[in-house]
Amino acid sequence: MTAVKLALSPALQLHGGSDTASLVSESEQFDLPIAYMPLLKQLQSPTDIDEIAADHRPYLKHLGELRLLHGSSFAGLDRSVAAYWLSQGFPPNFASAQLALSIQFSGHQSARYRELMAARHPDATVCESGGLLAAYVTKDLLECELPAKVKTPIVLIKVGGVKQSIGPVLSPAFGYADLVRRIKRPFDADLSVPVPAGIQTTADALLLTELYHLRVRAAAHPATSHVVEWNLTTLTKTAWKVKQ
Amino acid sequence: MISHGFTDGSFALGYDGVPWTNRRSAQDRFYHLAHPVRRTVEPFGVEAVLAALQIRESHEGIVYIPYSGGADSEGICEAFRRAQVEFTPLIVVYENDLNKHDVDYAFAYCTTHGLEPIVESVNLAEFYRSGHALEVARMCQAWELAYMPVLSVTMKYRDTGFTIGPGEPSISRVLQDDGTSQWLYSESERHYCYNKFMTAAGIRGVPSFYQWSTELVHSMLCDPFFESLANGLYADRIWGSGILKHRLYEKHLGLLPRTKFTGFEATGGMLSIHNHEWRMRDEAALCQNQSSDIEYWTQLANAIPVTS
Repeated sequence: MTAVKLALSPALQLHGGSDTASLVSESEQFDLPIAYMPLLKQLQSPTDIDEIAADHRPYLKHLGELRLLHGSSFAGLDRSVAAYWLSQGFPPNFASAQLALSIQFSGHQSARYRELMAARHPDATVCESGGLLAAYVTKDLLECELPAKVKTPIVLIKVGGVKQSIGPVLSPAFGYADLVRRIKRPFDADLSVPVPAGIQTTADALLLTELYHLRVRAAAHPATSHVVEWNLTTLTKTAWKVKQ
Repeated sequence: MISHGFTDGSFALGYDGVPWTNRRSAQDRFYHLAHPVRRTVEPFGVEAVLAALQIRESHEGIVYIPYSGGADSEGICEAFRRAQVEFTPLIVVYENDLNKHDVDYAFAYCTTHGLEPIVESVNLAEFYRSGHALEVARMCQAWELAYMPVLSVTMKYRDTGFTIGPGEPSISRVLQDDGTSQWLYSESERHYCYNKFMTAAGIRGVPSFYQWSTELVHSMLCDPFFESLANGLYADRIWGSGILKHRLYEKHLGLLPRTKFTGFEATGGMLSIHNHEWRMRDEAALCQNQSSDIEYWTQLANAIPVTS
């Protein structure tokens, strides 16, 4: 098992006075009792939590409360959730903030997925309006009732058949009109055939899990990668699931 | 003022619309200009390699890359390595292992890839106490004294080759009066001191590798990490692209995750004290850190190549 390593935030610089130890960033200053100095020096490098002296533990707790430490807080997340995202390279406070992003469903197929999302991920905030992330659910990506240009992110979800998909995410620079203009025929068009209920349930679960994770991965999520290789003028099937 | 081949001509920095100039008064307005792209923009990793090749072709002598161990300078090294352009890393170590935690990344990279770096040692306390740092700062109207040790070292190599500095675009959120956010593409004046220093010191090269061409700049601006940020896929607490920069290098240039350091962590408050004293001086009146801002989506519109 990997030991918990703690360190001061790299943005902080340590200053020593006669009776004060100060941590200074570009925007904040924290003045602490000089007794904190040995611990603060120790925490300038990642330190195994077990190497911190017992009489310094109260100081450590205080630094944690001030949110001056890396790796000390799960930011309100369940320990296992925090550990998962940390293993993926997302700090707990970042993951926590991203998981708080609310989701709003729209589109002809949205009712079912709004209910499924709330049931499968009760911690996710699913709202009727004003969601920060809008998910548009459709059976046909080329037949969406969407404006040509969007001002906020809309993630397109294609459902039905053996090939469901999530993405792309529309943006002011990649609106619905841009998408339609660049697609001649959806790759999965021929696969929109009825499937057994069990397969549909599994496919839906996978879809909603991806939507759940999209909130944290954001630009690192494959659904956002339609513009990964931005290159709108040469969008190919290797950039997104499109058959030209 | 001549740019000395600082960019390929499609990107410019300066004051009051005149590129490659120095600040002449406190009222001068720092600006930058990334021209519309001239061809289809490739992904950032491809553009970085193209830039390395173009820089090699347009400059004579040894390629010196100051390498702190940070992600920006390692990205430059990696671009040149992938382009199979020979280069020499220049690693500046601070005496008494003050930046060992940072430059260890650089030494590890050089070992991995069989590179033989030039290693220069600087006594930081003496460098700042002696006034040497301020001599360099005066040459380049520097706001930030942290850059001075490396800049001063590069002077030693101006006769045998040319230098590649860092600097990259960033975007940031500003809250408008109506409560909505606006995203701005910014360049900061404090980084521009690299350009001014190289001009004043007669050093050839590229002060800011990531500003070499408008296509390279736009490859960063158009990447989903930037676009998704401005599009609203990130929480409000994230106000700038700095938090995503390393992921961009990981994705496109294969950098490994690491802790971000400035290299001054072990020096206590030394740098802050010297910065503060310097900025309080009358002679530092021309040393500012303005940000030149362009509305993000407006700049992105320049990423669609004009077809004839």
